[in-house]
Amino acid sequence: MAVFGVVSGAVTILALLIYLFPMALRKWRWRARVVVGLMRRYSEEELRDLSQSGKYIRKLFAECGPLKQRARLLCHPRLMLRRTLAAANAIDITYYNRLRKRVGLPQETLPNLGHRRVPRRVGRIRDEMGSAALPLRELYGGLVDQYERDASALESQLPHGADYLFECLRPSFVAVSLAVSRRVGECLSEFDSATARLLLVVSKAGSGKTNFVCDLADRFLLPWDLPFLLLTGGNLRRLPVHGLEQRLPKSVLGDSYPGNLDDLLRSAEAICRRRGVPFTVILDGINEHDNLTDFAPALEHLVRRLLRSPSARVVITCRSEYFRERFQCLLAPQFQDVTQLVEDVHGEMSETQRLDMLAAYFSLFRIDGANLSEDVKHALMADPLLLRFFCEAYGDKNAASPAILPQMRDICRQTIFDRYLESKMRAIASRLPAAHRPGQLTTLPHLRVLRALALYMVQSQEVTDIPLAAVDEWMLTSVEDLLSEDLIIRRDLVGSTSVLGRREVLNFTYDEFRDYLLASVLVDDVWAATERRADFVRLAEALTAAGSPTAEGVSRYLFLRATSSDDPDLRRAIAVMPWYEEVFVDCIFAVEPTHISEDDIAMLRTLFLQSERNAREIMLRLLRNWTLPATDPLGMTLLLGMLDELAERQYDGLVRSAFDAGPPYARFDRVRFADFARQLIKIARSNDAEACERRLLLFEFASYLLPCRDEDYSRPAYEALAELAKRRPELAQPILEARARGRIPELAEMAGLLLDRLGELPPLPDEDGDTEKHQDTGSHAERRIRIGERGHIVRLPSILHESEFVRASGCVPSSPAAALSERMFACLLYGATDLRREYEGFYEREYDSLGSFLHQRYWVHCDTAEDICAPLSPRDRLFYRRASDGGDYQLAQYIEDKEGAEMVEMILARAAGEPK
Amino acid sequence: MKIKLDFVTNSSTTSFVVAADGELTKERLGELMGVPVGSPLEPMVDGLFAALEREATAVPAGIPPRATALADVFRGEIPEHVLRKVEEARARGWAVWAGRLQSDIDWTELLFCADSFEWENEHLYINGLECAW
Repeated sequence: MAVFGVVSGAVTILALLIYLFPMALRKWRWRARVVVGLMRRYSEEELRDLSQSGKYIRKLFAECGPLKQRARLLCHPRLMLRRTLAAANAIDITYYNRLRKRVGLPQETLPNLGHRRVPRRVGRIRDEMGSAALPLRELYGGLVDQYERDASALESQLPHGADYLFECLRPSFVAVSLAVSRRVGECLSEFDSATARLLLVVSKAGSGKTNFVCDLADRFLLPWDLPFLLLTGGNLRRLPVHGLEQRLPKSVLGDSYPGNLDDLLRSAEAICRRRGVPFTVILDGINEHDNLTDFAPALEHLVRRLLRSPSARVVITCRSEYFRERFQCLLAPQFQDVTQLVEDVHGEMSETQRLDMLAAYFSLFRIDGANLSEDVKHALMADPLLLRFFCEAYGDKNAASPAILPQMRDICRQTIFDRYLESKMRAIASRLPAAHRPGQLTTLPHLRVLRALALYMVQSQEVTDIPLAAVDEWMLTSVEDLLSEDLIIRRDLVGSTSVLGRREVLNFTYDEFRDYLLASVLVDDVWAATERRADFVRLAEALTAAGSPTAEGVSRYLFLRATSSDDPDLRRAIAVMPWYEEVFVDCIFAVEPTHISEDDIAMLRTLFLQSERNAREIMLRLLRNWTLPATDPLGMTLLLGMLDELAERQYDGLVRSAFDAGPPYARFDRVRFADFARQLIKIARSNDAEACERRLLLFEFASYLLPCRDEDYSRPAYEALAELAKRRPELAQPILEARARGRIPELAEMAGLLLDRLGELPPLPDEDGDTEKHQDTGSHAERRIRIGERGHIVRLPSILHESEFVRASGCVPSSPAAALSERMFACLLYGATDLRREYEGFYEREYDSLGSFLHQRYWVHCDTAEDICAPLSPRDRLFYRRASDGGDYQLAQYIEDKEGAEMVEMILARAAGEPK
Repeated sequence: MKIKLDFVTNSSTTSFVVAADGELTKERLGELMGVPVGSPLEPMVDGLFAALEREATAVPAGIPPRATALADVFRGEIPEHVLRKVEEARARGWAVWAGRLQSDIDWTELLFCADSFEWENEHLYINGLECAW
């Protein structure tokens, strides 16, 4: 009996083992680490495919500013939030509290976030970090209320009798609220990104969405070994829409995977909990699915199911138009609190990031862009799609050595598109079987497809959603070839939401390329048929009518085609179009010099005098052409000729108003020329006589700006000419004499002043602060200093303390005049260029910087701007100075004027112990 | 009202109020500002005094001592705090003047027109807080 019992027990155990072993084996085989590893391998293969198809260009992705930070916070909050907490802890509200104290309001405090730890469990980050950010959120609400609304909440807290003071300080409250709220807002936005669970990147075609997510996976998720899964809309297409969630695990992990989506998520969750990181699912290009009607709700359901897993985070990219039409379900209320929507991938890129993008494209396409003008580079940096066209047109990824581009003064889109089209057609032709390869590219059927589409648009005046029927059936293969090129045309689905109502249409990927083709068809097909010239005018007018989406592009390309044409009738037909003058300045600089006529030059001169906007644009365009030979019709000679003919009022209205930062000209859109003047100073100081002579026309242009002031009240052009006068009087003299004889009295006066002192002026300090003046001492030797820019020269001790200055002013201590003279001393440091430089070294040693010296001693004391302005951007700072710092601005002006300058001279002389 | 016949600039004006326990003189203004005779800053006192002398209009004694009526006189530009100061000054028997500094007369007046100030001693009260900039 006992034996029977033992045997039956052993059999049971064996049976159990036999039953459980495969289960355990399966479980071991599909353990969490393996599942996550397989998802990683699957994603790496996707990345490889995307890279091979050219959709992801490795190392090309340029930083997309805040978007990159948002994505990193979403995918690795524990790591990235440390930085956010440190930034939040560093927010300084001292100035804000100082203002509050002045009007008797209680001080605001910020929580100490430095010691906060980010929870290890991803699922708890939302709650814990949400509560940590709460005081910041409350402060932010109050700050926004102060500059966006009427600050009524703040006013209601004011103590009795403080309302007048608040009114006086209101501009300061607005400025400081704006500055502090920006920092707080940035931190809050980072907290939101770290606690969000769904990131939607929505933008137009070709803006770099796929590159962005691939780069995120390739250069962030993979190196940090974060669990993730990369899926593309194109691949999801292979799965049945209604069985999407069931089929997805097997399609990623293989058919042998025994589990379902929940099992997959459980495996990921286990790893994530162990490591304290999220599981990121990337769904790229959801619009590429071929059954959007059914796919959209299936996707919504999938996302909802993914987000049930506490550690899961989802990144989705989609084209704008599809998102609007089909995927609004992803903005449903259940996702609202956890979603971050980014609608412009490149919108927030900084200048440096754009430069990086340009360099990366040029490197990839083997282009040497050293000869490109700044204008061309900026146009390319502003438009990534145009940059891609440019690189495809001029570069070659497989070239042995970089292509050195010729000098380009303008972006010349027409040439880019001409070259791009030619290179693409050549590439397509080379792929055709030899029997089908045409003798000439112009007979290529693909070109005929593009022409047919453009003609359809011109004739129907419909420029989007062209039905496939617009091309003949025999062209459909060519249409497919063009679609595979990715950059020329794209296939879209439009129509009702029902399956039967949908229809395929074609669109051009890049609107400007479409406008270029429309203009080409108008000229080559419509105008060329002489009997259709009336049609040409009617169609061109319709396509360029105000409000038409093609107005800007088609008018520009028609202008370029007409101006470059030898057909005088075509030029005349275009010249009478209502938009002709409007596009003239913008386009004429893109025309080859050989095509520019005397009529064009006359038109340019007329437009120059017509408005300040035109004058500014023309001056800058011509200025950038300074390297062109004198024979070029659009060179510096034309600019200087036009300036020479100006009467005083024209000079004030067209030139000074564009460059002068002093009243009454100062405006936000003023052209800043201080850097330009600094370069001229450097050239004048260098011993390179040839470089100096080569830039003589630039010095001559600067001579027209002698009276113009910069924001720090200095006169950069005056300084540049003074330096030239000092170093190369023989070059400066003819220029100054011409200005002194000119029709503009102030210009003549300042040129005369410089002529009087030709060779006498002391040199300005070098950039690094070394000057002949500095070399002689650290002692208190006497020095000659210019006060203001009008040349008042005084002698003073090398270092003068504020108290000595105030004492020398003879006013009663602690009186209003004493405060005024303290401020005068500060303005002197800030405004009188030489003196400021002289003092900078001293005060930098004693304080951190001149700025902090001013903060501590002056601007706060007299309720003015600099401390409040410090966190603002230069533009806001300028605005703030203009808006609320009129007092010190005027004081600086005052001490540069004769009366004020004499007053300062007298004080300085008294301070130096000289009776005056 | 001033009518400008030549080129019109972007000029500004700002209100001021002066109260004194007697006559407003340059010496008193210099004393209030803390600028003794012979100070390099004296031209500033001269310039401001000239502007005040030119622009100041006496506020008639018959105006009812109510803030609203005074506000009418000052065209609603003077805050209540200043009105209270004016009331106190008048209660002490001080004379009160009001006027506007112009930004396009000379540099000194422009400086004070653009500045924001409130000075007071036992003889004189000047308020130029209402800065238009």
